[in-house]
Amino acid sequence: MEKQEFTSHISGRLNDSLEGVFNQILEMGGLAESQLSNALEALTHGDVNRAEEVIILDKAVNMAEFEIERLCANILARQQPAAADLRLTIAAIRIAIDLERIGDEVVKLAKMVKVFIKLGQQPCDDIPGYSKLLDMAYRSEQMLNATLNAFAKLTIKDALAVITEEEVIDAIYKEAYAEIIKGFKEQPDKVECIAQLLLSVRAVERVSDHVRNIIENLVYLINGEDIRVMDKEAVVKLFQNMEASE
Amino acid sequence: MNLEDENIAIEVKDWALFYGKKKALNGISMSLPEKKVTAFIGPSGCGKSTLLRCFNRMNDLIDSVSVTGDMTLYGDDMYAKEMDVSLLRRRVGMVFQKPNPFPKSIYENVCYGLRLQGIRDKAMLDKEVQWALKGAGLWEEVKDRLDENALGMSGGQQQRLCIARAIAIRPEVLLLDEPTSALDPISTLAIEELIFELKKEFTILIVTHNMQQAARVSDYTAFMYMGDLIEYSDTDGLFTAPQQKRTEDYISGRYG
Repeated sequence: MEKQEFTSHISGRLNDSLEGVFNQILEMGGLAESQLSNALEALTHGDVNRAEEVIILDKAVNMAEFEIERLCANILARQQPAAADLRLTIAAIRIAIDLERIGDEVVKLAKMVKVFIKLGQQPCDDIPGYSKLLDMAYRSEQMLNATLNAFAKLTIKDALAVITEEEVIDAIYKEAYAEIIKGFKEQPDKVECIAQLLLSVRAVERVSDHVRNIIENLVYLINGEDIRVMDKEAVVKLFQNMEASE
Repeated sequence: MNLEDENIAIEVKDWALFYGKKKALNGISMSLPEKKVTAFIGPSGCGKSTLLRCFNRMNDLIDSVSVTGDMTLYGDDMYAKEMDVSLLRRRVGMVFQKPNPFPKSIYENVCYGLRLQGIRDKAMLDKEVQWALKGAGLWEEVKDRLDENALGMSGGQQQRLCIARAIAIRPEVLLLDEPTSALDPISTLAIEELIFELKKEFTILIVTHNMQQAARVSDYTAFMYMGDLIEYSDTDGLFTAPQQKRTEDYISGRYG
């Protein structure tokens, strides 16, 4: 699928609207990306300003969701899009929701950093689950990055890797959870920090879920297949066929 | 929704039509499901109206037309020598783009076909007229003025009257050739609503230039282009994820 498909209509207004939605998604994706990278910086450097920035950026992310919804509602009401145009409109609404949720989850991470700093827990690499949290967060950042690039280029060649990575993060989450529970028992003096960490690993695990939703929506946009309802084997086969025809 | 699960009313096989030497339909094959709405869309000159008119042999009236291929209505060869065309048109009724009621009373318009069939029993005619007008969603509006001239009705009412006239003889298939293109949006919605009701009893084939209308009213959609059937599938699939680029370009209004 080529981006110019959305700008080759006879109706110039439909071209403008669809291009607008497409660009808004990329812009909103960029905001969510910088939220996540700021949160990671804040965490690894104990930087409270970076953490604040994440929280401020969230307002912009929320506004972007409103704006995308508004644009899509107008397209639906005024242009009656069909086929790929309709799928872009639907996918945009769904992706905006996922990006907004990603923002919310990342805010939890930023808030944890603020609590750590307040408690004087810095550096924090001795908190149970911390290294796993970092691992999950860096992987999620990569996933989000790859997904937004795939959206920008309208290609699904990295989609399977993204989906597989989400499953890897799920597995790490389970290990982190076990580590954290053990930590609660063994380090009762650090209960507040460990509880924050539990919230954060959960939040990052949710981020990866939302990124997976986005890539699934991208597949729907590109070829109309809803892979949410398919088993892994069918998904792999679909990607092989799509790549062959791309 | 899947064609394989449907009972088939009309079966078309390798159907070609020529206006003189010019080929207007290029070997069309398709199965039209019973008691469903099938819409034919495509740009002007794609052959959709020509094909629709084949279903009750309206093209017989044009001298230069010749056809090849097979067309059957519940297994009966529609173009067989022994096929009585009047009888075929009784089984396959048609409503046109412009409402064309006869300059007669509302009542006489609806029972016109029944009288042609030789029905004279007044009580029976009354009953059938009422049934058809109800079926066309017109009864409540006209029941007190059945003797008034049909030409005094609004365009939307006239078109519903034409539908009542077409269904009064209880055809199996109803052909609608752009039935709302001369109507305002509210009358259009009334007809679309009616189509939805009518499919409980009739197989409906509709040609429309209005893609949103096809999307709203039909169960299956056929996209035609330059005499070819490009894509034919359930309407949900065709309008959300068409398989052919040409279909995609047409329904989303792109330069093809």
